[in-house]
Amino acid sequence: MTRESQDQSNTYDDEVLNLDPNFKYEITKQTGGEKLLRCLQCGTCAGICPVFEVDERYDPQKIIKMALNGMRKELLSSELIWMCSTCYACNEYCPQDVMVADLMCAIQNIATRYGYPAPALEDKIQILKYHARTLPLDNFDNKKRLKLKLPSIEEKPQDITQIIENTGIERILENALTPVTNEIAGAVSEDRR
Amino acid sequence: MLNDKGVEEEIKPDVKIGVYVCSCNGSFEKSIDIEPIIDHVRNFPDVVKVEHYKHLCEEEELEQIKEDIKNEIVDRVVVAGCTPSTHEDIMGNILEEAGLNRYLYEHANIREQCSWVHSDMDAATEKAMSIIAMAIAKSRLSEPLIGTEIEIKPNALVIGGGIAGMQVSLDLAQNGFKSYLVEREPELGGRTYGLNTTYPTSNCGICCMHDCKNCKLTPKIEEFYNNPNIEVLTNSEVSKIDGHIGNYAAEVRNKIGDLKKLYVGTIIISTGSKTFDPNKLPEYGYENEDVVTILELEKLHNFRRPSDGKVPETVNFILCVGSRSEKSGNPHCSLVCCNFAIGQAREIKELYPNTNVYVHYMDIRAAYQGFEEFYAEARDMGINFVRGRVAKVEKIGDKLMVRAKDMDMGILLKIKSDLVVLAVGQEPVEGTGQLAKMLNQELDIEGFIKNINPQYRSFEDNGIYSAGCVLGPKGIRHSIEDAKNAAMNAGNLLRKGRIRLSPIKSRVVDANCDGCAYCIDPCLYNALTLIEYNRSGAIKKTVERNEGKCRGCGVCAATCPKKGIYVSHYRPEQISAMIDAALEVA
Ligand code: SF4
Ligand code: SF4
Ligand code: SF4
Ligand code: SF4
Repeated sequence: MTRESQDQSNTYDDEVLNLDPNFKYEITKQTGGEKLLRCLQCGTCAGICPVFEVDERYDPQKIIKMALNGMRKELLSSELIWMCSTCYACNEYCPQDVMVADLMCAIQNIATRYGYPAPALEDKIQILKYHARTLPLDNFDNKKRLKLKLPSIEEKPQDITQIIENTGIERILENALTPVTNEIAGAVSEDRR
Repeated sequence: MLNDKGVEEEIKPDVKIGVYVCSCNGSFEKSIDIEPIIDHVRNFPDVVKVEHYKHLCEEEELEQIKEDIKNEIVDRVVVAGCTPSTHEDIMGNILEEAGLNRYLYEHANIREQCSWVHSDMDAATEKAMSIIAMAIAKSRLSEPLIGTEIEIKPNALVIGGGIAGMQVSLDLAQNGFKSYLVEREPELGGRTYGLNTTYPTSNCGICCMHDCKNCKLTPKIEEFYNNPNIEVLTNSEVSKIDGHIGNYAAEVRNKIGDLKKLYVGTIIISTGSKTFDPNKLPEYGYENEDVVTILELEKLHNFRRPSDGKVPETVNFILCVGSRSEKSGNPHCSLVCCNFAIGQAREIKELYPNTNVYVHYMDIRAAYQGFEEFYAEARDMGINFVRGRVAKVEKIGDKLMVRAKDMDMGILLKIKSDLVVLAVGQEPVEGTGQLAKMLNQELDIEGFIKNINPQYRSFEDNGIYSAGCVLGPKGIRHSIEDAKNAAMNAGNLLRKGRIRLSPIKSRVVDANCDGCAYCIDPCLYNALTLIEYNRSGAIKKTVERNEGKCRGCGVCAATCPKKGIYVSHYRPEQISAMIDAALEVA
C-alpha cells in the first residue's frame, strides 16, 4: 500500500494502514518516549505549539494519537515529525507530563533508524563533520571580519569529525532498515531482547 | 507454652482436628492436585477427619462440618480454601452454632495465596500442602478465646461541620444519640453554605428549593442549633484524641483558647476537601481580575465582569482545572465541576441570551440521574461546547485571549473573552494527614482518607467512620448519602451499648518483661505504657497494655527479645510449630 493511496482515504482501516499494535511499546522503550501512554488526548500540546499555530498539519496531539493507534509506517515516513521546533512549550504545558518534545525526538530516532531520516540530514552531517559548523567558512567571511577589525578564524574540525564518527550516526544511516515494515520491526525487537 | 510465671510448659494437646479441603467448585484442581494432599494430611497426628468438598460455601457441606462438631468427632476445624477475609467470619459462626469457640478454627488460604498465582502443578501442590500443614500445626495448639466486653459511650464526636458532618449529627440526633459537632470556621455548612444554587435542581446549597441569595439562617442550620441532641462547637478544632472504640477522649480547643474535654463512643470524620488553587497553573492567568473560579462566579452580582461591572459578551469556562492531571498532583476527576459549570453557563445564557458562552472540556462527565438531560438542554440553549483543554489565557487590552485547540476541528482557537471561569477541582484539605494519623486511618495515594469498598467487610471496627469529601471529591447529594451511611454505622455501634472486643490482643508476661521498653515505640496504636510497681519491696518495671487500643498486630511480640509480650491466637509456640511444619513438608 503506498502513501499516495492512503492520503486519499479518510478511513483508518487497519488492513489498509497495517496498524501495528506494538508500535506504542516500541516508542515507550525509546529514550524520551517513556510516557506516551499517559497521554489523555486533551490537545493542550497542540494548543500551545507555535508550529501548529502556523501550520495545522503539524499537530503534536494528533501525532501522539497516530502513535497510539499504531500507524507506524504512516508516522515514521511522514515529514511532519521533523517539523517540531524543539521549543519545549508542550513539555511545560502538558497536564500529564508526557514530555511531548522528548517524545517527538524518540519518534524521530526510530524513524531515522528505519530509513526515514530528517530531510537533508546526510548533507548537514557532512558539513558539520568537516567544517565543525552548520555553515562552512570561506574567504568572504574572513574578509568581512577583517573590515570590522576582527581577527580571522579558521576551521578546526578535527575534534568534531572524531565526535561525529563516534556517534555512529553515519553507520546508522548507511545501514538503515528500509523500507519500514512490521516484519522488520518485529525482527529488530527480537534482536534487542 | 509460657505459663503466667514465664516458665515453659510442655504441651500435649488432646485434640481432634477435622481438615476440610474445598476446591472452590473444582477451580483449584487446575493447579493443585488435591487427592495426594488429602492422603498425606490423613497421617498427621491428631487429625481425625479429612474431607474434600467441591463447594464448601454450600449449606449442606457446611452442615456436615456442624454435624461433625456436634457428634464430637472433631473439636478443632481447619478449612483449606479461599481467603479468610471473606470466609473466616462465616466459618467462625458455623463453629459457634455447633457449640464450639470460634477461635478453634484455622483457615488455610490455598486460593489467593496458591492456586490462583501458580501454574506449576507440582510446586503449587507442595505449597498447598505446606500451607495446610501450617494451619494444622497452629490448630493443634489453639485455645478457646473470649474477648472482653466493654461499654460504648452513647455519644459521638463529629469532626467537620460541612454538609456531611451536619447530616451525620442530624441523623444521629433523630435516632436519639447526642453528638458534638466541631467546626473550625465560625459558620456551619462548609463549602455548601456559600452556594446560592446547586444543580440540576437549582436549589440553594444548604437547604431549600429557593434561590435565597445571602440568607443567613437557613432552615437546616436553624434546625440544628435548636436540636437538644446536637452540641455545635464552631471556631474550634480537635487538638488531641486518645482512647479506643466505645471510649474516646477528645480535647477541643476554640479560637479564644478554651479547652473542652469530650468523652465519646464513636468519631465521624467529615473534614471535607478544599478547592484547587489556580495560582498553581500560571498559564490560566488567574492573577487577572476577570479570571475567576466557579465559586467566585457564584458571588459576582449578575455575572458582571469584576474589572468594570460590564455585562460580559463572551464567557469561556475551562473545565478540569487542577483535576485529571499528573502535573497538578490530582489525577482524579473531581466529579462535580462539569455539572456545576454547565449550570452556571446556563444561568449566564438565561440572563444574557446574546452572550457567547464557551465550555472547553476534555470529556463531559454528566453522570447520575438528570445530568445528561441538563447538559443536552445546555446545548439546546446555544452554549458552545468545545472539546480540547485550554492551553493558555492571556490578557490583551481589556480582554482575555483564550487559546485552545478545537479537537474536533483540528484547529487552533483564539477567543477574545470578557470573562474566564475556571472549574477548579477538589483536593485533600490541610490537616487530613495529621487527623488520619491521630486516628489511625489509612490515606489513599492522593491523601484522602481511604475509601473502602463497602462490598468488603472492614477488618476491624474501631468506631471511626468517615463521610463526605474527606473520602474524595463528591457533590452534596453523595456527601449526604455518605453521611447517612456513616451515621447508620455509628448508630448501630452506639445502640449496642456494649461490645465484645476481639480476644486477639497482646499479653504481657510480667515475669519475663524487665521494662526495657523496646516494644513501646513500635506500637502504632499507642497501646503500651511503661509502668512501675512495688514487688516485694523492690521496684519492678513492666509494660501495661491497653486492651481497647491494642489491635493484636504482633509488632510488640516481634520486637521483644525476652518473650515478655506475645499475642493470643498467635502465641510464639504456635508460630514455631507453623514454621516447623512448613520446613518439614519442604
Ligand atoms: S516542542 Fe515541538 S511539538 Fe512541542 S510545542 Fe514546541 S514545536 Fe510544538
Ligand atoms: S498535552 Fe499531554 S496529555 Fe494533552 S494531548 Fe498533549 S501529550 Fe497528551
Ligand atoms: S467533573 Fe468534569 S470538570 Fe470536574 S474534573 Fe471531572 S471531567 Fe473535569
Ligand atoms: S499487638 Fe500491636 S497494637 Fe497490640 S500492643 Fe502489640 S504492637 Fe501494639
